[in-house]
Amino acid sequence: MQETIITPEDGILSIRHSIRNMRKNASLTWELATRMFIRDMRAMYRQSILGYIWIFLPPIANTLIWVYLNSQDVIKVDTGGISYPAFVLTGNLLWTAFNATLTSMLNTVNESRALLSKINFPHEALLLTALGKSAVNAMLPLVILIPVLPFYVNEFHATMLLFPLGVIVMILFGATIAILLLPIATLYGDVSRGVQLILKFGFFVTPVVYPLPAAGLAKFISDVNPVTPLLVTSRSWLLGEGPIMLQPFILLSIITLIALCFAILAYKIAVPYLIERLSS
Amino acid sequence: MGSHLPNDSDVLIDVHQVGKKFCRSLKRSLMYGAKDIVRAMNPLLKTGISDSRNKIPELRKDEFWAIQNISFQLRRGECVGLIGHNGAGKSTLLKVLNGLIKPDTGHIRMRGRVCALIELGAGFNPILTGRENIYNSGALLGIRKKEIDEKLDEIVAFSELDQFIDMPVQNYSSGMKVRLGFAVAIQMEPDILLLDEVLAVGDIAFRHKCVNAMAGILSKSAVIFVSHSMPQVARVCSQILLMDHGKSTYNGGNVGLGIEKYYSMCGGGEAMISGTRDIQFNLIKAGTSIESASSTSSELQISHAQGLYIELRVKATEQVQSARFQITIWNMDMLPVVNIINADYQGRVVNFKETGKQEVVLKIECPPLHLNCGRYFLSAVATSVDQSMVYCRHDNIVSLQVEGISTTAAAILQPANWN
Repeated sequence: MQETIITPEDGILSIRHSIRNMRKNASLTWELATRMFIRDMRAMYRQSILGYIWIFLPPIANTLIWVYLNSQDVIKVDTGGISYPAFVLTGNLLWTAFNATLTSMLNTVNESRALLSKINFPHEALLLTALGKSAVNAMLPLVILIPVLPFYVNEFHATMLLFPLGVIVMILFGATIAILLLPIATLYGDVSRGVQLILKFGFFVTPVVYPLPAAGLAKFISDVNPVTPLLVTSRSWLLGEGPIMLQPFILLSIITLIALCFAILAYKIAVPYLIERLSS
Repeated sequence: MGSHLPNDSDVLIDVHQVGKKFCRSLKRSLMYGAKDIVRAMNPLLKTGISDSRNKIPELRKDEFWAIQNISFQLRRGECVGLIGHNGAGKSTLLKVLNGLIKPDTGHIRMRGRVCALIELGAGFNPILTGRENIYNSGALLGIRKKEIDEKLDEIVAFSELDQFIDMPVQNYSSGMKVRLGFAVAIQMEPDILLLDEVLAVGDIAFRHKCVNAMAGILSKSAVIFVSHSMPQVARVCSQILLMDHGKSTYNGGNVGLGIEKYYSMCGGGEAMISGTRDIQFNLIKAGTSIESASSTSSELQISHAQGLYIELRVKATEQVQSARFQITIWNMDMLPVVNIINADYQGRVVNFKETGKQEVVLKIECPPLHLNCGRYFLSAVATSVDQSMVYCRHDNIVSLQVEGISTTAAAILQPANWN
């Protein structure tokens, strides 16, 4: 018969306990996460006529804005021979993958507080569900590229197929930051507001709608900005510029994976304390 | 310390010296929360089972013990009634037992599958149909899809919602949601069941169905039952844990005594007067008989099967020509238990015009009352003769504390000759 011990524990004991717990519940977690994922996907656009088309509209609209500004000479971006629509579209898809994952996952606990304070279930399932939803929202729009790309790209090459990998790393990077911030963001609303503010700046200081800056403050900022290599490398794969910043990309991907494991563990330990502060 | 019986294989719940702190101030509570999380994650720290049993953390500023020093054991087939006033710590204890929040002191050992019915229908997505939500709700409770596939018909049949099962849950009434939630949860076959007032909702027919379904679970598992309805507690429970301000004030197998203690914790209730107030009541005397009646107190202690004697002064205004009087005895659940009337099964009629006086004294002598133990409240009521108008209703004019012999869920214990 399964035995549960409930007692106050800190430090190494709570870490061990959490890891044991996650391993024991792995299959149940997976099933629950799948269930909740299906539930949310079904419910997401049920009260809507256009339905899943809404997944595709935002990146298209966002791209059109920049293409319009560029075509009217309001802004002038030198992409070095690459057609601007393709450039902006890929940049946008990548940025949105990161941005949307980060902002939506930051609310994971607060959205489910009613559930968390009533039912005991493996909490990591919430993360899996959120990650799944973010993945769908970020990966599905990639099909836009299939009809669009042939108009703008002259030759096709094998590295193009690496592009979805770039999107996945973007999602994981956003998720890692979100999960790391989740405990504190659940307690204090300042965090989500602050993150949203930073992301607004982030869009403009990251080479999303313009190429890597060559000099000046813009170059410095884009160099220290961790999103830069992730975005630039992935885009270069697709648009055939040859891999730019490949090494930082690989390094960041590895760090992301390690940090993600750490973040999930921290989240697992933190949730009971969050429930206590939210529902008492 | 160390007084557990870990080898007793039937002990499913073993709670030892459990305590939980809460914080009154939100800002501070959030700050403590952040600190606690950092503490819990610091790999250099090592506190846990071994020393937390003996070490009691200090209260930080603005903190208080929401529950303190709670210990009890529960075996298979036993049911403990967790009773106490609002804010006594019942729900907090249930959340700790369910593993939702961590205790600050003590130690809990739970054996077997735990099912907590704290709020039915938590996790329903309003926009999805009842059928879809059955699966979601089941997954949250840890029931696998295969299990639900097998039991789907049973669940739908139990909820009696077969016509509405493909309708979005947002169009369900609150009672229908509870039906669906309970129908899913009852499929769990738990070893340990935690129930928090969930049966208070839903119509009578469904409540009966739930109680019957629970009876099956009760014999096979250890149950913790939180309720404010003492008849239900008396009917279901084999033990009582009475809580007051986070502490256990009674813990034992004498259900009657536990419930009596709970009742005696309740205040007498304020006297309340309503109606047109053309008539006024004043209590002159109250007691168990004419001889022992005294004017000192409106709170009477009586034994089971003792009589009642009450003297009331009644003052009526000039408008009132005649009136009908009766006395009602209410129990703690605000249900009328006894109506004291006169021999012709009507309220006593007084004709003020005929007697020529607007002030009379009513002397009510009541034969032995077979009330079950507990607390009761008397209301004196004056209406017009045709009962179309209430002149005065004086609630809590006298309160009764009945010392019981035994406790069942019934309000009245009627001895009879059985041949």
